[in-house]
Amino acid sequence: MLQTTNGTPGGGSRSRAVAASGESKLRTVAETVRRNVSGRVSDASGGSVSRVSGTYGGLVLRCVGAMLCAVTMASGCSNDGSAVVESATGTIPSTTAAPIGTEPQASMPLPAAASLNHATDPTTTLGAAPAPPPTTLAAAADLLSEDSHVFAAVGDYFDALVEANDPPDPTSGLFSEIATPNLAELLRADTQEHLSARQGIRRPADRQTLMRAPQTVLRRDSIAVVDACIRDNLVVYNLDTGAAEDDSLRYLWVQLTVTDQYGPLLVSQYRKVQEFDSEEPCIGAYR
Amino acid sequence: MYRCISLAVIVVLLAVGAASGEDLDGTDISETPTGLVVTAGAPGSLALSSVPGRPGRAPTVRCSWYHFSVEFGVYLFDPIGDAVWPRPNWSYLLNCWRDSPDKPIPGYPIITQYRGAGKVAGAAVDSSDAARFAISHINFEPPEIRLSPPSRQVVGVPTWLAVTSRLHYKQVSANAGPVWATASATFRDVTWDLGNGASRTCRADVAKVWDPANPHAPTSRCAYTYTNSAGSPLKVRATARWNIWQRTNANPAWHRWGTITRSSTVEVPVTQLQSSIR
Repeated sequence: MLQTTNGTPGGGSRSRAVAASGESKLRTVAETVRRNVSGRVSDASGGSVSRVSGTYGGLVLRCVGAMLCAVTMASGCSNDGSAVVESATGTIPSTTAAPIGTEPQASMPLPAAASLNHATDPTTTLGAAPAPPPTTLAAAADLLSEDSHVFAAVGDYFDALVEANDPPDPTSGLFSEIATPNLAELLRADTQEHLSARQGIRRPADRQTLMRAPQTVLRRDSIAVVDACIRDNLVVYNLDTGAAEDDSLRYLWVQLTVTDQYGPLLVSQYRKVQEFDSEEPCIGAYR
Repeated sequence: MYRCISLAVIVVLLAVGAASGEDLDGTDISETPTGLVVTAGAPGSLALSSVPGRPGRAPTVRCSWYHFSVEFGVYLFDPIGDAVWPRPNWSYLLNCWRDSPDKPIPGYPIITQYRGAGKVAGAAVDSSDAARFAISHINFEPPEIRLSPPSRQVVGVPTWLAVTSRLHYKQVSANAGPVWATASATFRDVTWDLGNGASRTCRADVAKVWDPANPHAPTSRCAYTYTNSAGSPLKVRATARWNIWQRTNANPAWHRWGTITRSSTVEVPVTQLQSSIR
């Protein structure tokens, strides 16, 4: 199964955080996909990543903000730079981000397959983002604009997770080829957990495509967000005996973020949204 | 003077907020000073209900839409910041929670397009989920085909087309916390594919079978006469169709959901009796 790991809540409530992800069998790859994964809070690491907030706390200030909105309605009031324009209810768009709360990773069972739910640590991401060469950036921008390339990155992500967990190899170089540094680190940690639990993840005999009906739900700035249905029939097996421990079939609506921030297209966020018994409702849930 | 201005500002704000809310249908909408909050059912809490139009006892979750920003390849948002008044078909970060926005329920937040206040993407149960659940529990039977004459059809002799399976069903209701829906199926018609390229759609006499004990009964208005036996045996297909109506907490008036169909196929021999008459 596929799963993902997130950081723990950190920093102030108003500090910046990353939207975390769910999970899947690849955490125990199989379990990650199978468990109900809740979002996790990524550590926002205090002031170094906090930003000036556009949100007013008090009612009076909100009222003033609303008044200003009414006066400047024609120009759309204030905006945080996103494409969405506020309605005139006194809300000033916030530019502050905080960690997204999710269940602690430790409370989640270890699936036999691979974990695919992962969130990145914004602190590290923000502080360590390398500047890709300009030529790579230009090429990546083109890649991000094409669904086929984005979907290929997502497909590669799942393929690599399975490969790196059959048997589990936390040192696999595949992680850095398919995920951003922070997410790759979480994937390595998940893989280490699989190894410690003496569990591997392999494809079943009737090997089929994991990802079904991908769809880009958002393309903005340096990211594309993709909805997809994962046919998770990965087999979680015992590393010592080879015996299957979990070969159940389930369908997962997952949402992944693909970015060109680091040059090639990499997955930066993963979330299991919902689990289904069959493919049709899984795809229908986001289409 | 300052107090007057402040009071005026607040009055204006409240008026604007109320006006925004008036545009929203349904009982699951609430307003906060900062944005739209809708109530929904907890994931997995859908259950059938014997009392139409009533909320269930399952937990309530609340959902709001938020702006988000993108930095270093990830989207970010502030779960305890201000929710927004979303615009249809615009993309937001949707968050659902039970106790506090900074403790999302599993599967949230997600990036999604706003489809209206009654539509909550993801695992939280909205009224359309409840309606689908209710409809899925109307156990529509596939058509049981009964032709008259019952076995071999004869060229030039009318074949009565009938389905004897159940065509009328009771309403079904479901709820999940504050969300509820009732679905009602009204039989619409049966479309017959006669296996030779011809088709008929019947709304009357759809279940009328020839009764040997009553040979003078009026002929069925749902009949077909084969003109030749080419291709026999033919695959005859009957498709029953129902209109589905729904009431939900988001729209308590009966309104159309769509249609449901069920089909069955039988193999029918068609023969000419001409030579035997000679």
